Amino acid sequence: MRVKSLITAVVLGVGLAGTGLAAAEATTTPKPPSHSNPVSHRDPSDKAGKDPSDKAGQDPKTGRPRLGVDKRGCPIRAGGCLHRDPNYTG
Amino acid sequence: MRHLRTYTGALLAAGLIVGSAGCGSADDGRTGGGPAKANRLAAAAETRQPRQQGGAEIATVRGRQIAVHRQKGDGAVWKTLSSPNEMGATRVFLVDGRDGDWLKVLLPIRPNGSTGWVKASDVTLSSTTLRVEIDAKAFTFTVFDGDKVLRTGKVATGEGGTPTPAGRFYFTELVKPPNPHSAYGAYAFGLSGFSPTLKKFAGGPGQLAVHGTNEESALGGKASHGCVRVSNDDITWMANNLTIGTPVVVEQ
Repeated sequence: MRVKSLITAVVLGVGLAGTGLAAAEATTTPKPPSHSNPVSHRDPSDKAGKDPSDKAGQDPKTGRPRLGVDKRGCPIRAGGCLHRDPNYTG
Repeated sequence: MRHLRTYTGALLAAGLIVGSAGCGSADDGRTGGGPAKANRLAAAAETRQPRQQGGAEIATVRGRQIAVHRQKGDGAVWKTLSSPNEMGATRVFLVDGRDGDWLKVLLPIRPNGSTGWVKASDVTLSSTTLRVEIDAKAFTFTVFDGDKVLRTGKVATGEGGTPTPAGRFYFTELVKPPNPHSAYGAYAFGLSGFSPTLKKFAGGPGQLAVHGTNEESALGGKASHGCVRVSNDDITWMANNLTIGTPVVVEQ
């Protein structure tokens, strides 16, 4: 009887532990973005676009397109990013 | 039965402990950059008091053009602005007020600080708690998220004959120059303001911008024709973290 109770308790306990994990995860509220449009928060040390010889838009390790940048390495933003010569006052 | 209760209770407690330990919150990493960066931000947070802690509303034009009125409800159209704008970006405005179905918006036209009214149905609204403050006397910029300092750095502003005007502006477009080693650096954020002295420049209308540089040694002083220059690391960070429509305040 004791062995049977012990097995039952272990099965029940594992189930409850899993429920506890799921509940804790569900109550972890993700931080809301500062902007209502999606904003990618990449590493500030990312040098994308600084080096004209870099393969912009590609992950240097995998060669796959980087998330959050277009084919030419420009961050994808609301309103888009323009590839052209500026004519601002400099 | 007593054993069953004992084991069940122990395992439940263990499950809760594991659950809470494994799902703790993580830093979003936006203020990354190591101890030096952290110290820099902490020092900036102590010395600067943010003036505007609330969010700002950004109006993005829905169609290919938008009618701007001098007064709300005015039947006569004052100006018709295209979208995309003159540079090719979707037209946005910074919202300055609202009255019913009308929005008072900051316009990217001369004179600086001009406002007009647009119909709310002609735009899509979004909001941001981010903003950039530029202290032209101290030659520094600070990016805030509400009252939190995200990043600070040095700037160069306009020289005597071509000053950087004070005022409230916003980013109108983000440009990535084909040559990142040009005077504009890695990126340039166009501003809604214009030079008070240069009516034309390099074939453009004398529009101001916040951009990178190929001469970082000039940061911390007056060196530009009116634009605000920042380091290439800083403008790259801005390009990755700020959107068009973000408010920019230049203080003298």
